[in-house]
Amino acid sequence: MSVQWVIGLGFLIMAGCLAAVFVYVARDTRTQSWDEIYERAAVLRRRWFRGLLVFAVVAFAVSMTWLPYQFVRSAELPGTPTKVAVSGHQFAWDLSKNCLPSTSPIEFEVTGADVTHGFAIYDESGSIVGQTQAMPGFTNVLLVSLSKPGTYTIHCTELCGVGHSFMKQTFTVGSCGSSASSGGCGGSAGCA
Amino acid sequence: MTTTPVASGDDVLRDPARLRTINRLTAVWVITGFVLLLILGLAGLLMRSIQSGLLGGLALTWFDAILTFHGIGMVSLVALGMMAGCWYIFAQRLPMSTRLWTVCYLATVVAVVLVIISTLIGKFGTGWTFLYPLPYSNQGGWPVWSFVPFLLAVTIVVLVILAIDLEFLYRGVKKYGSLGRMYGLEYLADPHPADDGRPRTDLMTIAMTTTALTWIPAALLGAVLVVLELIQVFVPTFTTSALLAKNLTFFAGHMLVNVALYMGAGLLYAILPSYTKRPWKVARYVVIGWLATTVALWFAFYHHLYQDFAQPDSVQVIGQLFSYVSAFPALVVTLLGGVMLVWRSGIRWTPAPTFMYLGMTGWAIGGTGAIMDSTAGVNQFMHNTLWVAGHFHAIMAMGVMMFFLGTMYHVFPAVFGRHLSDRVGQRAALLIGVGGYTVVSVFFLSGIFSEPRRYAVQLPGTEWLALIGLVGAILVGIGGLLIAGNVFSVLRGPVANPDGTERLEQPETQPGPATA
Repeated sequence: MSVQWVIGLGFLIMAGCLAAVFVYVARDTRTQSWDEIYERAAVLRRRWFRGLLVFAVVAFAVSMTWLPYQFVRSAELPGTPTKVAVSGHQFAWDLSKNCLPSTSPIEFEVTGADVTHGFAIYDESGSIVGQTQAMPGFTNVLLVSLSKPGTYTIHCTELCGVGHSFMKQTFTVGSCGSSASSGGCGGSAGCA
Repeated sequence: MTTTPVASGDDVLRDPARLRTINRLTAVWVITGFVLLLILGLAGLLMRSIQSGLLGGLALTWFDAILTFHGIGMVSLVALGMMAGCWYIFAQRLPMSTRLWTVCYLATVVAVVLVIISTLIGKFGTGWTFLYPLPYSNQGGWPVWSFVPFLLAVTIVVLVILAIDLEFLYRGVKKYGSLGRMYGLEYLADPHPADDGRPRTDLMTIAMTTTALTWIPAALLGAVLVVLELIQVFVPTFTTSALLAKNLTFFAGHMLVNVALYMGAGLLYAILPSYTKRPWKVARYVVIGWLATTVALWFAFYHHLYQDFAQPDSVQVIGQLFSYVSAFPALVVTLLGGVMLVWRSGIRWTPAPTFMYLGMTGWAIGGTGAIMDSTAGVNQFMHNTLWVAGHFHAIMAMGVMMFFLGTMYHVFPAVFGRHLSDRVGQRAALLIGVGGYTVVSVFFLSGIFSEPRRYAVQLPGTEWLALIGLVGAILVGIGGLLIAGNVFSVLRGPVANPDGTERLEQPETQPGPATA
């Protein structure tokens, strides 16, 4: 199951519970005086606030280990990373390498040549496995582990003009021929 | 629902000529807003048609312009629509200037024309966030001049909100004595402050004060961005930092969306008690919640820049912390209070409370998705996918727009002197509810499939999702047209109150214990 489905399932449970409460309250046709309700509401409110506070604090603390930034990822992904220079331009990607190892972390150094693009890496099942922005004037360093060999696709996820939907590029992870791993794509069409 | 006596001692508030002007102005705002809602909704429907592959070649040539028209139109409409509702209610409590509000309306009409010129004539297609430097580097997609009317329209919207916010603060301080009393700070020291002969604040005033105080910095920094952009239009060699521009964009843009929501909460506070016949009063925890939101909102916008790794790591962590803090108080406090207000109240589900309740539901569901997405580790996988469109539309379309429709039904008898059909309204609510949640669910599901947002042509094999979304959008459209038909036929009928001086019975304080 992809990370996205886990996130979606979590959302479905929470949103479903909320929707069920709203429907239940709306369909409860009994009437009760406000004074009686108020007493119960005060108890409910205290429990609700305390429960949510605990949930939020725990969620925040746990989520700090999921941060996609280098200070967290470099501890999670030890070893010397393979560096790949990436430049996004309307409407193609340039990568310094088009075949990458599955055994070491990959460090994408991403920038934008003209406007801001979204550098999102899709695995073979079509799920995003990591992303960062390709912004002109800045280099964003994305450290990821692509341990599953195969063909990965980069899609642009930031609106960058009329060709936004078609701005994609593929690269390979796994067994690389010497020319591919050292040479790169040689332009926007080379690896597509 | 309507009555003529007024509790306030202020003669200005009881002036029949002023009441007539207030009603007429509100009528114009309601009709304009509703017509724009239908047109902008049609633009959304058109986008889903393009994405589902039904309109072929139109995709590349027009999608981005329609996207921008829909986006800037809708975010402006929700903000100004909520403001129109708030103004109507506050104008009956405070001597708000009808002249200023008339100028604001005329300026808004000019802004609408400018957006049409920019997007539908100039084909300006950056999306409503006009991320720098896309407006100037577009590969021939649109001429740079089309950015100018767009910027002017944005400026007008910003200034209209600012003008009313400042007037509200000025008149509010005069009435309540200080900004602190508008916020209800005395409740922090004493949950049941003794009567000191001066008026006490109410929940709607607190929400509107939050809106005003958060909008002032947003308008100022938004103005900086507009000036920087305008300089580059006329002096192309002048450039700015893309990261700075993005921070400015989302500081102001995130505020715009949030102030719309907070004004919607204000309307909820004012309207829902009329139907549940229960008080929704100021309490200490509510004051704390809104204060926390006011402060946290200044830093929450950083979650829009999680994928800009060049931002300092500490800023990203602060962004997540304040995103949680800003969302929980307003969302949790208001929704829990609203649900308790309705529970076993014997409420009759006429269209006004139905739409307000639907709005609460949309806010809760969309807010959950938004809080999840404001977690940087989650955002890494969902950022700029249709998941974002999912939670955004859940909050804005199924939340704030429902508040707009609920408010419209609530004020219609007083403003127009006529009654809309309950049966038509209920059928429309059903269609809009079913259709709206179909649209939103498809967005969420597409996000799980990692479908990027703002794609004219969807990833291969996912067009069927857009098609289901289109069916949902059509249901929403039919619901909207049902209401439109009812409004049109009712307005052609006789007027129940020819003198046009009716006003809402909208007590500021109500007896009974504070709500949970």
